[in-house]
Amino acid sequence: MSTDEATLEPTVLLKVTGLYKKFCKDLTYNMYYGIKDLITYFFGLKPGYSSLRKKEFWALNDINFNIYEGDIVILAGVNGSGKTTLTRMLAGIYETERGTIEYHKKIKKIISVFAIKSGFNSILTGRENIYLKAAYYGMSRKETEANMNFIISFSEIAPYLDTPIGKYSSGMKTRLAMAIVLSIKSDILFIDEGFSFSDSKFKAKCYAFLKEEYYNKGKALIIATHRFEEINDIANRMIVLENGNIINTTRDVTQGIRDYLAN
Amino acid sequence: MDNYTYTFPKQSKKFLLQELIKLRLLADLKRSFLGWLWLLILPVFAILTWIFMKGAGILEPGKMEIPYTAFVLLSTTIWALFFDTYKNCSQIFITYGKTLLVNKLPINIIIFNELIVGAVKFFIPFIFIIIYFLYIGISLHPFVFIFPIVLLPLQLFGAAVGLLTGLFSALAKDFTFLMDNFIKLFLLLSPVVYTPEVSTGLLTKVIKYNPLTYLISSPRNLLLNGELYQPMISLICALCVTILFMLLTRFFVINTARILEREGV
Repeated sequence: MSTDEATLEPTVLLKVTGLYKKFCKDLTYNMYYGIKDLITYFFGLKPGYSSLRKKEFWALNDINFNIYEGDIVILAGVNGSGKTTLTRMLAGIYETERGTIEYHKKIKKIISVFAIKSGFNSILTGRENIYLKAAYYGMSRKETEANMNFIISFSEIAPYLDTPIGKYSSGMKTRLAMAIVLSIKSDILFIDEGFSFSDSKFKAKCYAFLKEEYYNKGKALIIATHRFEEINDIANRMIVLENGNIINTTRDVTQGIRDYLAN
Repeated sequence: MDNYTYTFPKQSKKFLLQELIKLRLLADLKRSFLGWLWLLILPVFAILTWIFMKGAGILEPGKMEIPYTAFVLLSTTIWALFFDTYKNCSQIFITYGKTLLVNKLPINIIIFNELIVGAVKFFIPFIFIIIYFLYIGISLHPFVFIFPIVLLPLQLFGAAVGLLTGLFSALAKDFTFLMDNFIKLFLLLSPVVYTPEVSTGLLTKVIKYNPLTYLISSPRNLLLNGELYQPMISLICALCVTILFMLLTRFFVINTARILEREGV
């Protein structure tokens, strides 16, 4: 645990302990291990997870950290450092086979955003896609309809709402996708590279909204990004990953970014 | 603190299912000039092939109570339900792979969606077949109303084989090639374009031990004369494939995350 975590004692919303994830870097071995493990599971057994087999590597290696109320965290690291893997494990998309991910009892809803525009269908209209995306995020029809005005006004794409989304620009798709995400009241939000292709005015609007919703209301936001200058103003914590290990965690975000870029 | 287990909100599952069905059905409709008319046109092409083979003397379908055209039209439509459900379930990681990598969706809803879409795509041409049968004077047994129940095990069998194939195919494509061709072979080894009474040595044995014989012949016989084909064996087959489907669905659900993270999708 880092010094900043020891001195401050707000409520822990998320506690990650001894988390590991291994992958295989060779395609043939990946197929072989996959089939072997599947057959092992089929017979009700569990393949060992403590050691590496040939051509395997630790994508995450003994990850430990806490996320507190009001944390807005930059998850930094070069490509392949383990940011997306960690975010997918926190969101429950990848299985936790070694280590634990624990949430505070008061956490009722978690939203994770990967590749913000994915999940849109190009032949459906913007309006139809709002329903589809909202359904993917676990919203009901009633909740989606209640959020519709917010989504339309926040995304500022009202004139194009009934146009097939295949005709939208990348920026318009990002606006719509982000408006849908922000319309959902979640206790913890994970964003993995969410703001690419959107203009700076819209980004600023999103960051202001995120700060109000997650920092001021004592929730938590974790953003995996390389665009530090954009989020520096609202982030209050930084976690740096390298080769699947946490190499730095700090609350001095400006200094953390400086150190990260220098190294 | 609680160990985290994400559960998709119960009240949202119905909404998700509706959206997925709409997406799958609308996508086909919107991307084609003829749209769902293809559901009626495609069986005609299949029938022409079999009629040609029978006319050329290549195929001896055995003794039947209705015209061969009507028989093969009904049978190939029933087979299409099995094959389409197999194909859709075996391709879940291809169809939904990217979506599943970015959203934690309930897999059983996706499987259920594939069953419903398969059923809708079956019943549209099936209704036209019924109309055609009545038009050419083939009377249908009143038990036609329980036909969907008798047909269900066939669809579940297609789904079970598809789910198992889908899991292994996501890891290695060899399983797709193997199973697709194996299933196509079974079109000829099952009484689809001929009756189960056909007697040609080895084929007789294959037909006897092939569960598809009972799963296809029973709904067909029920429709035409109100009886199941070999009722006891048909019931045992139906029970076995239902249990197999439930077990494989559970296995598929449990292993989805493991398959996704191997990035074989």
